[in-house]
Amino acid sequence: MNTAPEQTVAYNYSVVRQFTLATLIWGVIGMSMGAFIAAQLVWPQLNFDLPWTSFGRIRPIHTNLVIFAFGGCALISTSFYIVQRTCYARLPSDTAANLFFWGWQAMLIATVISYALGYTTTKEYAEMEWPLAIVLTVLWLTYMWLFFGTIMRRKTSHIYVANWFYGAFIVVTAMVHIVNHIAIPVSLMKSYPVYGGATDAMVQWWFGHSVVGFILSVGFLGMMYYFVPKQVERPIYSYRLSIVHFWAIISIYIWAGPHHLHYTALPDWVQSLGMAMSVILLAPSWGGMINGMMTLSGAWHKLRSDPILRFLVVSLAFYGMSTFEGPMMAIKTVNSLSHYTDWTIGHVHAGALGWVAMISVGSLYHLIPKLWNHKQMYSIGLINVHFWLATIGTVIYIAAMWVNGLTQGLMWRAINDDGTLSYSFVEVLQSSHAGYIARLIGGSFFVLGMFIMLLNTWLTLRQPTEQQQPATQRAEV
Amino acid sequence: MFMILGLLCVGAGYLCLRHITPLDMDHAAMLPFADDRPAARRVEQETGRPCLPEHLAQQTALRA
Repeated sequence: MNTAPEQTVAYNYSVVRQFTLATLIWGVIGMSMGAFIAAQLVWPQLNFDLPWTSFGRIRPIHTNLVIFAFGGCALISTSFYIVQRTCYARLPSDTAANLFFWGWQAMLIATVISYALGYTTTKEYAEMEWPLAIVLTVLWLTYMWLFFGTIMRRKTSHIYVANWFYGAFIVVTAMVHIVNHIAIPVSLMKSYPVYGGATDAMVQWWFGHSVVGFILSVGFLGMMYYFVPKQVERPIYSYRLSIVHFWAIISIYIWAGPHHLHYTALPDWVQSLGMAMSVILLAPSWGGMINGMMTLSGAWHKLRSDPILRFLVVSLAFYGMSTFEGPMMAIKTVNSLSHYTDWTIGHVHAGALGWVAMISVGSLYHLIPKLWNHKQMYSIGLINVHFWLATIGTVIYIAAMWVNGLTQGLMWRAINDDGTLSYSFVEVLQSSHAGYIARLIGGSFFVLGMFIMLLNTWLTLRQPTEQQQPATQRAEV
Repeated sequence: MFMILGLLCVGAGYLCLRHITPLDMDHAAMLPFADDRPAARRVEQETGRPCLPEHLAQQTALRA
């Protein structure tokens, strides 16, 4: 196998740096939006009786910012870093990379403004109207060319497994985005999907769960397969398992969407198929989680002194937990209790905060000093504080939502002897109030941690660099 | 269509595993360290596995 020893390659790190900083800024904004809407559920007066500050408009801003702005920038930044370093090749075009960065940021800002103004397709995670969807498609195709173009220029015979995961994330995201956004425009900011009724719902949740599967799982698994070995300084536990993991997860994840539509007009066999595939998904998900965890074999002691490694390992623990909970919730009998309750929101945030955000944060703490030529982050103590705020915040958040979800599910299904409902909707809402306060506290802890990370990064960047010639321009390989 | 794609994925996974040797997998697992010599040296010291590019090449030559 050609490992291309002793070559000098000038990598394009400026686009990696740009996306890294964008990740932090969007993370703070997107998660602050989340804390704000959590506060609105505690104090509804915070809607201010204004349309653009209402929960209904800010909630999609929150979800789109944390998925496509924070998560998207984290994935793009790390994918450009990893693909260059493991292929010993520079991105095919610096100009295209720069244009892609600014185009991506402009698209995100336009998305936020359009949602605040009330322009929406009403499809979850796909609320952007057709002009923005077209812009996103063009930008994504540019990203695809930059990523796969680097792989085509590689000087190694083998493509490292992290790049397989990133590649699948890029290809499948393009596919589901294009199919889900096929619509007939009736004006500049209004369109109607070409699909109707249950078909539209099925296409939407095929897309929706693929966002969860291929952006929030497969993409971040690519991050895990590079940064966990790098931080622990051990090769991945089983490379064979990583290959099995890849092919198994991409062949199964695309089928799981129907579990979002249990007990709806969707044909029953489709619901059952979605349920079965979701349960099967547990195997590859846990295979990957175990592969990541076992990479620490013989190096568990490093967890005592390395808060970055703690972020990465705890993220894997949350990944394992949420990928166990997900298949369980996809079982129709469990879903009849959990669906439409806060349990679902708790499950999503176990994955979003515990897995996605924590693996990103750990990876960026590893990456930032390297990108700006520093030995380490300005303050390890602040990383520790961030770790505990993030962990405690996530646990409070998901525990509050579990309690709320079970309470809501049980109260909604409770009936009197004469068949009437035991509780009104308002009574259920009142019983949820304490959970909403706890969720706000947990979420605020997490946001506070992100502010600390931003501060730590700023302090790191202010330090004098170690070398005059930045290693970001030339790296020995 | 998705059934065919799923089967293709399974087939592709089988072919991947069939055509990659254990030595190739060992070397591939070291790719994250190959461009970071200090880290590669530490990995070699701690695991006893070849990691530096020249050591990987040596191992390939010996096996051949």
